[in-house]
Amino acid sequence: MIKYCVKRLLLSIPVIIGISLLAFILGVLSPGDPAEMALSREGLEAPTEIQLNQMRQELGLDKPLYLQYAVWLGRLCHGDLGTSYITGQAISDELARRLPVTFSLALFALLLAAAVGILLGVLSACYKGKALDKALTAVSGVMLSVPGFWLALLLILLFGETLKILPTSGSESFRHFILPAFVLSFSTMGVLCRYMRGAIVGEMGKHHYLVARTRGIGKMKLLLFYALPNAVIPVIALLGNYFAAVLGGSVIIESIFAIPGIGTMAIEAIHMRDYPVIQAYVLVCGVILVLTMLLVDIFIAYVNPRIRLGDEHV
Amino acid sequence: MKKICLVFISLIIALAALTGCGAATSDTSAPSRRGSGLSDIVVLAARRPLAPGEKDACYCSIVLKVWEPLITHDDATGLPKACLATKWEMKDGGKEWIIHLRKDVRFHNGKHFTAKDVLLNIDRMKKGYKRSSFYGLSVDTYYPGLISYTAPDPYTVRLVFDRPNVNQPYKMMDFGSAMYYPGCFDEEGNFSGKAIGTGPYKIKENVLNKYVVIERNDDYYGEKGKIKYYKIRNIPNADVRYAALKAGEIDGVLDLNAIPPFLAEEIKKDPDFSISVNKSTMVRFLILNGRDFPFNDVHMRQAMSLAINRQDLIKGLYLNYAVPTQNLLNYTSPYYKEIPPEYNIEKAKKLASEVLKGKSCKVTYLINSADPMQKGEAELIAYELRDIGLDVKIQSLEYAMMIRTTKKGDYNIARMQQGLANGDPYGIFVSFYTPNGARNKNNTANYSNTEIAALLKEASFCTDEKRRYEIYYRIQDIAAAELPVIPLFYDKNIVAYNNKRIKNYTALQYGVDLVNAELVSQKAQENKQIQDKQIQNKTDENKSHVHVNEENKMQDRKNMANKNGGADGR
Repeated sequence: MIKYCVKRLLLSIPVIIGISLLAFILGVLSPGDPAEMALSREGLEAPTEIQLNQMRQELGLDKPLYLQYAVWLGRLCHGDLGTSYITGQAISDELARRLPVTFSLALFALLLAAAVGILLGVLSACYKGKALDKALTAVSGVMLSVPGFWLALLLILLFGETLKILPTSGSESFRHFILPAFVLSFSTMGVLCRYMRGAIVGEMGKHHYLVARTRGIGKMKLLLFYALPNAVIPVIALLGNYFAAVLGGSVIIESIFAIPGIGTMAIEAIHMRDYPVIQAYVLVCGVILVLTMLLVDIFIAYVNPRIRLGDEHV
Repeated sequence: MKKICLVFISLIIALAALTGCGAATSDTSAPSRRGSGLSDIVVLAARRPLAPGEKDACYCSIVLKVWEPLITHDDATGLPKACLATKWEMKDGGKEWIIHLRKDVRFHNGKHFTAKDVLLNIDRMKKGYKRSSFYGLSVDTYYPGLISYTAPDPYTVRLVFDRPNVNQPYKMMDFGSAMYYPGCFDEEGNFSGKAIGTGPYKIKENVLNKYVVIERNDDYYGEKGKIKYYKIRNIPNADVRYAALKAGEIDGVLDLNAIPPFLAEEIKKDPDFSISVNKSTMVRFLILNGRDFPFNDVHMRQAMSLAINRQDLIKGLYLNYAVPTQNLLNYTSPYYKEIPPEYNIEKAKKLASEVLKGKSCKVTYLINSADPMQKGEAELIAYELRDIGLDVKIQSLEYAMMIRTTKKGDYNIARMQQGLANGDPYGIFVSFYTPNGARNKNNTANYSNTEIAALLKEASFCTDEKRRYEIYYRIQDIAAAELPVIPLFYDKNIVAYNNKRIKNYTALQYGVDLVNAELVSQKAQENKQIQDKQIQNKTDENKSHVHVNEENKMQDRKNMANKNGGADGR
């Protein structure tokens, strides 16, 4: 397995370099002058051409593009992600502050989505065709169609402003993550519920389950101990993708709940044409995605040893 | 299945560790309402971090009262006002300035503040431009042409320039002469830790992008703060700040755009909340492409200004939390001349038809997509401009793109804003009204006026204050007539607060008066609650009284109807 992991990690290096190059090109192609954005602060100040040139020189924007990229890549090889054009802060420090926040939110949302989504899916499959199944199908439909920002505002109004039992914003404690994690996981709960129901119903329809039933094994026992472990494997892959996507930053939710994660950092950087931050963000997201996919593969192989990783058995 | 459960449980533990640990560290290090009683800390919120930290030239905003300048501004008049300096003298036609310092000032670490500290702060400025979220630090901006700076005695500083800097006290206002303990700086002039100033509050804890806690400086030489701790949270979204205020998580809001007008009107309806309003240093205006037809003609610019009903715009969109104007110079400047905006659609039509020759003209109006108010504003203005023959196409762009488009001149009208760093209008006038001015060039305004150029040249040397007023008044008159830009309105600084928790929370031109804000005492809170209850009871009583009366009336009507019905039946 170690050989497989190393191979996967090595293969991901050119992918990540490609992503960073693309991010760099897209960044510099997009209109806007970082020096102007850094100095004018949306019109509060009017920088002169001399000041702008000085700033361009300081930021290295006067150099040819290939040189700018090479300098950035060279620094990266030494573990230096650079400094923000706008704040002057080291990007690695900024990421170190923000990543744990986004990671906590993503993990909380993942657990919530998995727990509730799988539970609802199992319940729905258990009571297939009955009133509860129909109700849960309808509920999951609502979950899928409710816009996240609307739900966020509604929950803030209800639990924050009216009942005053949960904080409306911030990231200082566990309580602060309850509402944003719920909103973030809401539609995924719906997806998982439907996915899980379909997978369990499919499993339960297979021949060996029918034989087991005729041999007198209880439906619940079959469902929980035989069908569920098989049905949950594709769900894990789905959750892996979801986790990587949320780690990439849930901009709207972070913005509504004033959570200082990497999503809000990226949006601010794009707005201010802060290229080094954008490049670092893309790079970090790429690495997160590659690692998450790898972990998901390993985890799936761990829970289901029949699955092969690469050319070998685990 | 066991394996899945195992992984699930370990994920839960990881989550608890991540979020739980974070909570523990922040709660123990910062004073909190939960931890030490209700009244030890006031929690406020701003849309941006007010203490961006060590890499920011200022470390924190002047609003926090952590550092003080040599010269500040008078909030009522806009004139320079003594702060760490007691007085200043101009010599040699503005080429030399003598600054006298207070003798009773100590930094937060107990060290005396002397002229040597001023010199070391200027040394820091000379190390090159330093970026800031507030105002960038540059010796060329605040002390242009500085040749030497010396301390003839421990409480006097002598500044010598190679040119007459007659408005030097204005340049030194607030961010221009911020003083820090020199030991705060590293070799490059950046902060090497928390900022140490001389102000009535000091930094206690700063968690970047989350919050900053400031603590009262009990050794402050002047009027001490009434509140021991403030925690200022960073909540970028105005709606979320409003929700947090209503939910009781924060006690007030501050900083630029603290609360938009429509939310200010909403929160005013709740008796537990109050708002405070003051002038703001921000002016909003339309820039015009003066290089191309039709705005290369002064009559068209005049027609456009005459066609915009600023009063209606402010009433309808900004709920009167703005002041209409035809003058670009902000109303907080001491040199400001009031020029009421003229709205005259007939005159506008006449002027426009002279330029457009009775035809209509298609124009592009750029707005910043990040500001939702600009869209409504543009739609109203476009509707009004239709009457003078301008067929407006509104284009919503990201700000960086908007700047690029205006620089290239691929537009006709664009909505912009401008702050006023200090009360002296010289910099703004040079930037907007001279051919090589930064804003004039960047906006493709193509504006020039020989009289304004001559007046500005005179202003740069003029030491006679009366004459300076005359010069600046004349420039404002010319600009209001020729309209290189179309000023729309001045902002107002609106702040909201929970009046059950705090009082004397007064909006200043920039920020709020943190020193004079006070906690509402426990007794006063109880009294207010009793009063509120009494009012509620009275209202309920009145309602029930009205209800009983109505019920009685209904009964009477029924009786009457029965009687009548009975009579009819008989």
